[in-house]
Amino acid sequence: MSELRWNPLLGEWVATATHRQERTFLPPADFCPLCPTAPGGFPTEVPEPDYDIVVFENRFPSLQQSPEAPSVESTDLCPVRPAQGICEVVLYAPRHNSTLAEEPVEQIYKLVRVWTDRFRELGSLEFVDYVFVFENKGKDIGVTLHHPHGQIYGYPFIPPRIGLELAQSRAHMEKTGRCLICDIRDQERLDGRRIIAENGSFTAYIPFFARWPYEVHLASTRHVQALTDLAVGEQKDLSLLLKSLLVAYDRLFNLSFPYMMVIHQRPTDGGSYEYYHFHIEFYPPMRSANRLKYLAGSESGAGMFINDTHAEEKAAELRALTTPARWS
Amino acid sequence: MSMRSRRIVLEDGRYLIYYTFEDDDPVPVNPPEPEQQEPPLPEEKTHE
Repeated sequence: MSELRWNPLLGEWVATATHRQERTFLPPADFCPLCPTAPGGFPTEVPEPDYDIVVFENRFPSLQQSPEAPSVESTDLCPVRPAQGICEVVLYAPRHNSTLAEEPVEQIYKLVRVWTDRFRELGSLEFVDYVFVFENKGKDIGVTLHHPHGQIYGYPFIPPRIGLELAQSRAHMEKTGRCLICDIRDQERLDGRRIIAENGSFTAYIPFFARWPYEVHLASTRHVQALTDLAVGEQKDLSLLLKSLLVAYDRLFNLSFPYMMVIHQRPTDGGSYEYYHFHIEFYPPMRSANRLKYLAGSESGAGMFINDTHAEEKAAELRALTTPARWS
Repeated sequence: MSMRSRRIVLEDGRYLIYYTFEDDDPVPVNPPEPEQQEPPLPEEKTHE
């Protein structure tokens, strides 16, 4: 049972999805539901014995194409609505013990192509106003399955964080005539201290205003709004830069680095968002080899992040570990 | 690289899409390995 409840205090929707309490939690590798189904083996989510990349509807979705009616009644103050939307799982590879960082650039390029296809298809659905591609990686983030995978949500509204970025980008465009993220990226390139790596189509940097010690943003060089705007060469450059960054992350503390990866694109509600700029953000929870950054009182209760580090120092650490990725 | 997708419906009604790829592109060319260079010495500050 899931539904969307309106929070009038913050002006945002909250999804309640009680059935998700029952989802599979860190099963042994022999019983991974995201591996291919071996001949004679137990049936996984993927009924065939092999695959390259697979996308399927989440068995435990917080948003559904045809949701049930809400379990409670709306009031004027607190409306409730069916949790209509899409929740997909994207399996990056059939290899259970792999990670995106360990996959070859070719596989990352395939994934970029799949993300693009999903953005196009889900964005065309009448009830999807925003397509959100993301990955939660590592038990420190709370993943319940270790098999390399990401997720895609098709929201029936523009989520609040994106709404804020859109409002800031629009205001900047109206004030200066320029794109906000183009200006941020150009300022980072001019300064140089927070740059991690770049190629002809993308720049990776820890932003001046980073909330997380190793937060990295990847912004496209060309002013585009979505994955579907990227040319083939740009898709390849994105794959190369993602590989370089992910490998550098794993080198930081010689472990498989946990992170949240989120892709920020234009909404798909039919509006015009020429002022917005496609980019990817990484929020790793680690602040040192054995310490995590928690979202505690100030972050959760006041919305103000406290970063215990300087972006310039963390960028230098990451930059020193970054090497250009190469095709196999 | 061309991409194909095949959609099936699972027993419980959910969809699943297999993506497959055919490598019909020219093999991507890696840029030459950068030569190892000594980092440049910092410029000395000059006072006008």
